Amino acid sequence: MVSSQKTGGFLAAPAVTYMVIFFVAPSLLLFSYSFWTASSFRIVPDFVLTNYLSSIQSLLFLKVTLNALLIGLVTATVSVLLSLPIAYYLTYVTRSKLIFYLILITWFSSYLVRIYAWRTLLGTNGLLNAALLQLGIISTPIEAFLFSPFAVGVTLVHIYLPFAVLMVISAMSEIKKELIEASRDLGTSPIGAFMRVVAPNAAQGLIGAFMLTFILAASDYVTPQMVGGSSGQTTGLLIADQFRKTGNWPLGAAQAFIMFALSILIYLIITALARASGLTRSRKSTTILTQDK
Amino acid sequence: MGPKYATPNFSEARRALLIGGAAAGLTVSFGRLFFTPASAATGGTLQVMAWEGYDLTNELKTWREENGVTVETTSIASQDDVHTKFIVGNPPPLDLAEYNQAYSELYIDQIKIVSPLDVSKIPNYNADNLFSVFFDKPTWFKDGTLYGSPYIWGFNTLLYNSAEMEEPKSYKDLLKPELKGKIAIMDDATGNWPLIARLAGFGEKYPALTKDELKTAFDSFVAFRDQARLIAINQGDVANFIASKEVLAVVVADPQIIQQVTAQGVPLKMAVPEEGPVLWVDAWFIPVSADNVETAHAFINQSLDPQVQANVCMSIHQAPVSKKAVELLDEAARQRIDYSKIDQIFSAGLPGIPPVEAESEVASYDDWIQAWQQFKAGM
Repeated sequence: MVSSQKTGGFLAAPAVTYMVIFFVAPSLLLFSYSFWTASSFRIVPDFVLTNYLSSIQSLLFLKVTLNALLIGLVTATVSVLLSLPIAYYLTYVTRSKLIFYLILITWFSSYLVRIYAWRTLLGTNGLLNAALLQLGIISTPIEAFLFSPFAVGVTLVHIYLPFAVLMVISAMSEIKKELIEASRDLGTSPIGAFMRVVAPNAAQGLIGAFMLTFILAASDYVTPQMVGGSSGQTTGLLIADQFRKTGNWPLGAAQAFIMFALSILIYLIITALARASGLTRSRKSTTILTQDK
Repeated sequence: MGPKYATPNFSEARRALLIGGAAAGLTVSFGRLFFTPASAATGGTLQVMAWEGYDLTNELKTWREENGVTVETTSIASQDDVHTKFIVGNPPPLDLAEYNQAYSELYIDQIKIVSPLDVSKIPNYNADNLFSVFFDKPTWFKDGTLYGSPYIWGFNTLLYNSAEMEEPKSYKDLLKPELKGKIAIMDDATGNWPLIARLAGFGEKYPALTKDELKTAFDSFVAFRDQARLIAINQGDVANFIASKEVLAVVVADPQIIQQVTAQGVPLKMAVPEEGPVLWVDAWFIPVSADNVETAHAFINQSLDPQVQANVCMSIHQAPVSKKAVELLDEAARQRIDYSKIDQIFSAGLPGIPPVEAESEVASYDDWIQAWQQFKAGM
């Protein structure tokens, strides 16, 4: 047992060391900055709550933060919903590598290239408008396709959907097909089998997929800025401006930690909702339930 | 054909900022892990921060090869990219950087990130070579010490697709109904500020507007945001949208993109509206943290060579600080500005940025930044 622990510790040491040096330590440093003050492009060590208080009292901060949260929630919801049938198909119907690679192939192109591709597709002279014009569905190009919440949503879902698919496949692959077949044999409908067997057992993975997508999308400020126009201003951009333009690192740090806290809050709300709805149960209790049926 | 821009009527400066970019990294906190001794001879690696297209990559190719110099350039997305790197300890290993004249006082007197230049190592910096408006002027030369070496100047102004629309006489012409959704604004806070103040009638007061005046100015500029198709994050961004004819004009931009856009078959031209263009002068400075000081001086000296000046100015549609370079410009570049009236062009002086620490009701630099952020967020 001791030997096993030593081996585990030895194997984990490089990654843990890396994270401590390059994540934990800088995060603590950033956290300490959030209580400092800035004046004339100089940072002064201090211990004040001004940065947090001024942020939550700022209409601009509240507006862009709400926007970031909405972008994250919509992207995460759509991505997870879209990934469910794909993951189910790839887990229980076919193990097609082709489909799997088709999903992942978008990662072979640069993040920025994908954004620019969407700008080209959604522009007034873009493919979507051209197709609709050709089909006679519209008579003039629709400008709102680009630089709108629609454009932000479409682009972010495209970028982050593969992450969600991978995580949902991972969650579903741990659920034995026999459990689903058993529930069907006992008279449950396909949807019922999904809701009563697959969803509860995969719930933690689904929540993980949702949260990962949410965090990535809510903190993304490049995509919203490039395809969202004035609807694409998010907290990430505001934080970047504090570091790059105003030189107010303490304020930027405080805003970053407010976003961090909000992400945790969202996670707690999601898990509480899942628990309240009965979606999250331990595997043991789910198995018992299925057996009881 | 007379000069395109003969009698300018402008008094403010600030160059358009390029490229959006990534958030500041925490890596700065770790600082420089290794100390590199200062070089005593020209050669080695030179860390340069410059605007995209302004780093003399092509113009100094031969010089670099002859002297064994490797230039590693970091593009400036906004002037703030330079000084914000010096905010915490462990300044970056920069040997040379560009800065807009508006930031002179901040850099030299307030945050003190500029080291004095050794003029003896910059022989091209002399009264015979430079226009008088750039030689030993207080913006860069203080108490007998040269801190910044003026390198290039120009103006950002309204750019438009001449095949699709008439030349605007005023920036307000961009508010015509037929141009709804056809104009762009650069995400260039300090580049737009002088114009925003002018359009609201506060041009003479800029950058010392009160907070009320600042609000009034931005309120009036909202009409341009409502008219705009996009707020472009960088020059390449706006160039793409003009080239695809998604937009027909950009409110204030660096004429550098003209070459890029016209190469794609779109006739992009400069207009000089009645409100005037936004004048700027960029200078080189050697940061206090520089390692390769000798090569930095040599680089500055080469950048002032008349032929190098002419070449870079023809390439990016800007103007040389070297008067000897004018005769080396091609006809188009020479006609663009009436160099015989350069004293008149600069007669109104070069304004600075809003005060970083404002007194009473005067809007501070932070107030302007916040107003710009609110503008972009549609507030």
